[in-house]
Amino acid sequence: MSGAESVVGTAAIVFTDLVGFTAYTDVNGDRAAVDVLDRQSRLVAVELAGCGRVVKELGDGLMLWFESGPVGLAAACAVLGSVSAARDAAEFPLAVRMGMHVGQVVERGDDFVGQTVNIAARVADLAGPGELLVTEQVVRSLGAGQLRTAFRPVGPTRVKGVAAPIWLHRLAT
Amino acid sequence: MVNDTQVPLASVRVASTSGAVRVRTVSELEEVSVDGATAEIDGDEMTVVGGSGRTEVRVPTGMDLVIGTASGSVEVLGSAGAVAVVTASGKVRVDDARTVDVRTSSGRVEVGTVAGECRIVGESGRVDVGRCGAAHVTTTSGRITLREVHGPAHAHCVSGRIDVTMAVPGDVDAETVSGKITVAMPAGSRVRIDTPTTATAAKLTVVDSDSDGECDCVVMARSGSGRVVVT
Repeated sequence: MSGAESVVGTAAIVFTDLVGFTAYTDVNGDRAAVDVLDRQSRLVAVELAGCGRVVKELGDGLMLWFESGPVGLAAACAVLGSVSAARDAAEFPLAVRMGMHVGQVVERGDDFVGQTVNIAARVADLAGPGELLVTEQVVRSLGAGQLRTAFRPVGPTRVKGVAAPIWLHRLAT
Repeated sequence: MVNDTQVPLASVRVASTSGAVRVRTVSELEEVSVDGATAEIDGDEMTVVGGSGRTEVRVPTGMDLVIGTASGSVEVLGSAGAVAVVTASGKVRVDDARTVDVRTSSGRVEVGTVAGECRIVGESGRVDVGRCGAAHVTTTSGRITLREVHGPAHAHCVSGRIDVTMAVPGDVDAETVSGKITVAMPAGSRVRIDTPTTATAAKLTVVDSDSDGECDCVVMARSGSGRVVVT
């Protein structure tokens, strides 16, 4: 698709990452690592059914798309809960961490690009195991009764090309 | 800075481009003072924006703080409320707070006393926490030392050493791929241990998971190649 054919719109972007995946692969081998990725794909597919999609796989991480902040947040929480439950049941060996931002994106074929994507990736980098970090824009996209009180401030971070600091919040669990 | 909004400040947010940030709490201080940065008040929240120079802020004792700087160090001196810090590479020091949340890429993190939860996400810098409630600490290669934990402790790193000292019996979840793990429990604790390589001292009662014996807490400690010692 050429630049002229690119579609600009608002979306929520979520990046996920499996904490310790490289070390897990070192210890347990490539086949076990592939099995973990397959199980992750199945867990995520269940929670995304009808409300979002996997844009692409990035090693052990995923980039997810949702049409809005509230929809993306609900799905991200569901993925987090699903992975956590699987870990508690010893059915999944690793914790997932996630970062989310909402804003304008440019659709390029099956992919999305733009600062919203860059920021979401940066947010995920700062999350700890089992955590979902979101930007202030995500919190503001929620209605008054939609989990606003469930967030704790984390702090401002900087992203290349973005002049203003990006204020982050953690979903309290 | 004079707060003429008639709304008492609940929190101060500090964002610095690359300069160091120092926040000092002062008992019975009535107004927040700011040096080296600009400040705005919106409702019960003050936002301080600094540049590449040092930002110094004085706040009343117990104030909630949210601080971020790209590469400068961050110091919170005195007794604060809920403290949250994000920095890329600077050292982080928090003396005393109600809760702590620190995210850093490579800076060393030193935390004195935390009444409640202490949550730290780091990469290569060492993490040293004095007294805290629940602890959630993750690093990539930085050594983790938790000296006096009063709640459940979660400590994970890829290649660093982990040392956890529990002040009261509590669940411990410690994992590293290549470093040594030591967990010290209070004398007399009844502990169920879930770790592949374990040495235990006589002062603990080790409860077998297959037995009916009641335990105070569970220690899960795993190291891919390092020793695990529970005492």
